[in-house]
Amino acid sequence: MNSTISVQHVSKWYGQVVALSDVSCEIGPGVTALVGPNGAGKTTLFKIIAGLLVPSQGTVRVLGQAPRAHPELYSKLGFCPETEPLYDFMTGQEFLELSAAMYGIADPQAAAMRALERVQLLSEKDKRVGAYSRGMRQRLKLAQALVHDPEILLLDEPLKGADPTQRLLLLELIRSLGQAGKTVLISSHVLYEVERMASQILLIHRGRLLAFGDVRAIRAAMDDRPHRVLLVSRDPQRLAALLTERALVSGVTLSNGQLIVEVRDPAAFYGRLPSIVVEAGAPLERLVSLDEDLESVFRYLVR
Amino acid sequence: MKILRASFGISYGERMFSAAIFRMTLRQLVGRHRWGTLLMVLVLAAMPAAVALLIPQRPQVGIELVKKLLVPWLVPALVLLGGATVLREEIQNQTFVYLYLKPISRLGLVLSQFAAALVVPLGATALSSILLALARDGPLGVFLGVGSIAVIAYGALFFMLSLFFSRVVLWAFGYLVIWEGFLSGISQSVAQVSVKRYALGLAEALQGSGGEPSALLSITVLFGLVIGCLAISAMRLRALELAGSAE
Repeated sequence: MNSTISVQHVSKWYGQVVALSDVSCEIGPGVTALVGPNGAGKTTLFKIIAGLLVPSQGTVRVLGQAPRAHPELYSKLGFCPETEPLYDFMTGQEFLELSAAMYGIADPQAAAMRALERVQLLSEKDKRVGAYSRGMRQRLKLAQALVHDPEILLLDEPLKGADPTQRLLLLELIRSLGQAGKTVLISSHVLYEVERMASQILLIHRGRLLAFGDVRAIRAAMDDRPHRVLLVSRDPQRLAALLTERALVSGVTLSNGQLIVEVRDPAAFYGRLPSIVVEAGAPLERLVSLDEDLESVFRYLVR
Repeated sequence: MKILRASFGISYGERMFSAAIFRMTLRQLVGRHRWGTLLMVLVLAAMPAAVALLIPQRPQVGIELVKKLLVPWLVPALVLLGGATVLREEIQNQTFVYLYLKPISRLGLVLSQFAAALVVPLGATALSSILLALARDGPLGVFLGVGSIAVIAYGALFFMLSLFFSRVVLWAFGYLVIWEGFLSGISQSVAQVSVKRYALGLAEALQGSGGEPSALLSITVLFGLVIGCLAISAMRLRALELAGSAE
C-alpha cells in the first residue's frame, strides 16, 4: 500500500493522563475509519496528524513530511474538526470564499460554489452561518475541508448532527472521495455507517491501537474468539450432530429451529460444510455470519 | 531573503501575508456584532478633543493631552478594544483551526492578523488626532505620527502577550499601571524599557523641544520592539498546541 499518512510509535500524554500510547499505522488512499468509544484518543490522533498537537513521542508524516514544520503541506490536506464554532457573522459563501483564498486558489468564488454544491448547501449560501442548523454547519465544515480539493481529508465526526437524508448524502460523498483515490480518515460513532463507507478501520481504545485493517481480516485474526454462525435448515438437530461429531464446531445452540454454532476454524468449517449439509439430507435455507460486522469486532476488542 | 526565511522557519511555497486572513479578521473586528465595542472606541477617540474643550485654552494643550492622555491611556485602550487580542480570542473560541491549517507561514499568519488588528485603533487614533487638532489648534502631523507609532508599538506588545496569557487585558492593565505608571516613576532603569517613554520622547522630538530620548533612538527602539514582538509571536505560534478550549 502507498501510504500517505505514516504514524510511528506516537504517544501523547498530558501530565499523568495518557491520551495515546504507542500508536503506529500506515494509511493510504481510500476511506479509513477511526473507530473507538468516547475518550479513546480519536480526536487526539486526528489533531496530531493535522499538526495541531505535538506528539509526546513518535513521529507523524503526511506525504512524507511533518505537517507542523511544513505549513505548505496544508494545501494538500483538508481538516473537518469535531468542534462546533464557526464564523457565525459570515455567510456560508463568504466563509468558503475566504477559505479558498487562503489556499491561494485563483478563483475562490468558483471553488466555494463547487464545495457548496458538493454538500448541497448552495441554496443556503447567503444565509449567515449563525443561522445555520447543526446539520448545515456540519456540511459547511466539510465544504471548507473540500474547497481546495485536497489529496488527504481528515474528517472528525463529520456525520454528527446530520439528519438521515443528509447522512446518506455525506456517506455517498465520502465514499466517492475514497473511490477517487483520496486518502480519507474519518471518525464516527455509528459503526453501521462506518462499515458502509470505509475499506479499513483503525480501532482505538484507551489510547491504544487495538486493530487496524479490513474488518473481516481483523475478525479472522481474532483466534481467541469463536466465530458465531447462524444456520437455518429443515433438520437442525441432524446438522448439529454431524458438525459436533466432525469437531467442526466448539459450541452449539438450538432455538426456534435455528442453529447457532461457534466455529474456531472458519476455513475448515466453510470448506466441509457443503458435504455435511448433503450428508444431513436437509438443504441449508440460510447461513449468516453473526459477528463479522464491525460492531461485533468492536464489542469483542473493547470488552 | 533566504536568510530571513530560514531564520523564521519559512519554507518556499508558504506565503508571508494573506489578504484573505486579513479580510476575515477585519470582518470579525468591524462587523455589526461588535457595534457596542466600536461605539466605545468612538467615545474614547473623542475624549481628548472633549477634554481640550473643557479645560482653559493655553499653549501646548494639544500636545499635553497627547502625552498625558492619548499615548499612555487611550492608545492602549483603543488597541485592546480594537483587536490586539483577536488571535487569542480565535484560539479560545476554536475558530483558529480554520486559519492555522492553511499553507501560510506562521509569521505570515501573525502579520496578517496583526495588520487587521491595527485597523480600528489606527483609525480611532487618527480620528482622535484630527478632532483634537480641530478643538485646539495643534500640530496634527505630530499627533498623528506619535499616535500611530504608539498604536503599532502597543499593538505588537499586547498581540504578543495575548499568545502567552489568556487574561491579556489584566496583564496589559498591570503593565500600564504598575510598570509604566508606578515603577517607571520611581526607577529610571524601569522607565528605560517602556513604550510610553519612547513614544513620548518621539512626541517631544517631533514637537521640536529636543531632550532625551532622541527621535532616532525612540523610533529605533519602538521599531525593534515591534519586530521583536512579532517574531516572538510567530515562534510562539509555531510551538502552540491547539488542543481545544483550554488553550
